[in-house]
Amino acid sequence: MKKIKKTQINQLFEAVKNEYSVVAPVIKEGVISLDLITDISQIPSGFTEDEKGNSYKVAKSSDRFFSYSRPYLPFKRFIIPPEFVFMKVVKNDGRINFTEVIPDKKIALFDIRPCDLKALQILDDVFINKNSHPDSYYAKAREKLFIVAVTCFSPTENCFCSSMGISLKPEHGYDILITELKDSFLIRAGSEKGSKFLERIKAEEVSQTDLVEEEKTIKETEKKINKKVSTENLSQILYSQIDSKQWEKVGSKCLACTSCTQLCPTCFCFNIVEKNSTDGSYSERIRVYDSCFNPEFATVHRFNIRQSIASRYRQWLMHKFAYWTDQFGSYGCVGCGRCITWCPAGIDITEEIKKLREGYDNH
Amino acid sequence: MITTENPYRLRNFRVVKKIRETADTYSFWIESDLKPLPGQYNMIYYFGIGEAPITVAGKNGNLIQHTVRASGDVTSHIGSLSEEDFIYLRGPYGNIWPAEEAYGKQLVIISGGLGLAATKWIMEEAIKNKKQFKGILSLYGSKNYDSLLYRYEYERWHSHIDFRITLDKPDPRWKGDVGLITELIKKTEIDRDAVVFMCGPDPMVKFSVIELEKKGVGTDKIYVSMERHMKCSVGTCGHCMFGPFFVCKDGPVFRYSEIKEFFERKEV
Repeated sequence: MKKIKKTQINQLFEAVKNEYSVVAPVIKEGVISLDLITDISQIPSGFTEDEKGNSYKVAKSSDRFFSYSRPYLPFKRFIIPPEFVFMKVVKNDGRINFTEVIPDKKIALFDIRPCDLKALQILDDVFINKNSHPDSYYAKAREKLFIVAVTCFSPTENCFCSSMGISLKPEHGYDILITELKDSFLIRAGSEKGSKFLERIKAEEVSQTDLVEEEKTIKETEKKINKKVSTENLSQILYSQIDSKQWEKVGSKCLACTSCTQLCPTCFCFNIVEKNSTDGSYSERIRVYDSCFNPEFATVHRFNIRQSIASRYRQWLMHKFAYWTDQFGSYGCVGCGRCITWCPAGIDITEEIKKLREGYDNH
Repeated sequence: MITTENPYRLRNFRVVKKIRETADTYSFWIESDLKPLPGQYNMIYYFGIGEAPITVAGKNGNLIQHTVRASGDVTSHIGSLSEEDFIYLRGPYGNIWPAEEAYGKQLVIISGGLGLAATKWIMEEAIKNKKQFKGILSLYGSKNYDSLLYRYEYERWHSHIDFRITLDKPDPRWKGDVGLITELIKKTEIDRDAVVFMCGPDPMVKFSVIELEKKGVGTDKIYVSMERHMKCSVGTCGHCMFGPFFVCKDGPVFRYSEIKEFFERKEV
């Protein structure tokens, strides 16, 4: 662990930029978004989101460097993009040749918060660790990733990460972890790759006072997270509520717009489509984000198994909090709160779970 | 460093024989070094159109059989393939029929429509190992006379096992049973400790289970091969999700008692 001056963050950034394309939060069209950046000044320092229910405002109201919370877009799109060609197919003299497309970009995720870091580990389980046919595209992209995590001191009112078992300061899964103190940054390496970067930066020793300040800030920030999901026996309770009347109620509000699944950092479902040249000699196989809210999602022989929106909402919530535990041994939610902020119908997943739990308690 | 073979890699094989089973259904015998087991399926690709999961209907040496009904975009194109053409596929995927479960007991195979393609191979294997079972009963329900699959095999099957067919609709050319398969189950003697392998449309499965339960057959002795929307076949695209299961990799064969609570609910 080392300590650097606030002005030295640029050195760290430049060192990372020398080896990687850097993806970081930016302010774009009025929201904290995510994009490739080339200069540390593109980071929206000083901006803070005000998220209440499904309202969202950004204002410049802080003197901290990492003042904002997680970006509205999840990082998954820089590993598995919303749409990408995974195979090129050429037809020649009746024979077909396939070329597998392998991601070759070295990407650094600069300023990933603990919720999104955990989401990455969940996706690793889905695509690689707990899959008998590991996804080679994901594996390649993941292998080339460099991760700069940041201890989160700026949760929004919609964040409920702590109840999903996520600490503000991640323990592992990063190459470098930055913790912002009042006058400095604490920098920890979480991997050999990370250590090598730290060696290049002139740094100071960390004092006991710094660690006390860090601990104190974590404690104070924890108090700001008031939203929560009670996870005690949650999957069993949800299984018992599969016929709850609550699904109909939420289904009548939900627009099936797929906003939640697109912004969810763990939603992984995709479709495979073919794009062809007009002369019939060339075809691209494309993976494109899909959503369990789409009307064709569960179609067998032109019949959609989940006709009602209520059933699609049930599928989504049950997957996150019940099915996922059976499939991968964890919840499929990290409490980032994006689905609450960006739901045009104002549906709050924590409230839905509360109502389902009440239905169980009153039974 | 993670080294993984691309799960979407397709391989080409030669169609050596094409049989027209019905007006819209074809069997393809494909020369391949693949080693599928009864119950498993392959993803068959057609250039520019996409892939479809197709059960392996039979295997004979280095030949595997796929029976395809030309009903969707992909299957219609696959149906247009001819002998000597290349067919592109990946697999095999999914789990298998647990034949050993039925050793020493009556094996009952229930198939509806194209579901026979998913049960035919295990039936053939059971015939080869006839002595292992107390008896083999195979019930097959077809919508009408023209939809009957594998007609050229009936005589052979009849000579080995108790193979019965029922047609949903009467036909002047048909002298056998008429009525839904549930009616045929009703009037057929089935052991209480029989092991059942079943494949057919969801409603057929649901009502057949009810009839079997009336005969004392436990739902833990009934195995069903399910059909759901499958795109990736490796448990990542999410389309075939069915309760906590990915039909593509946890199935397609399920013990009914384990899926009952999801199967009997609408829109799961």
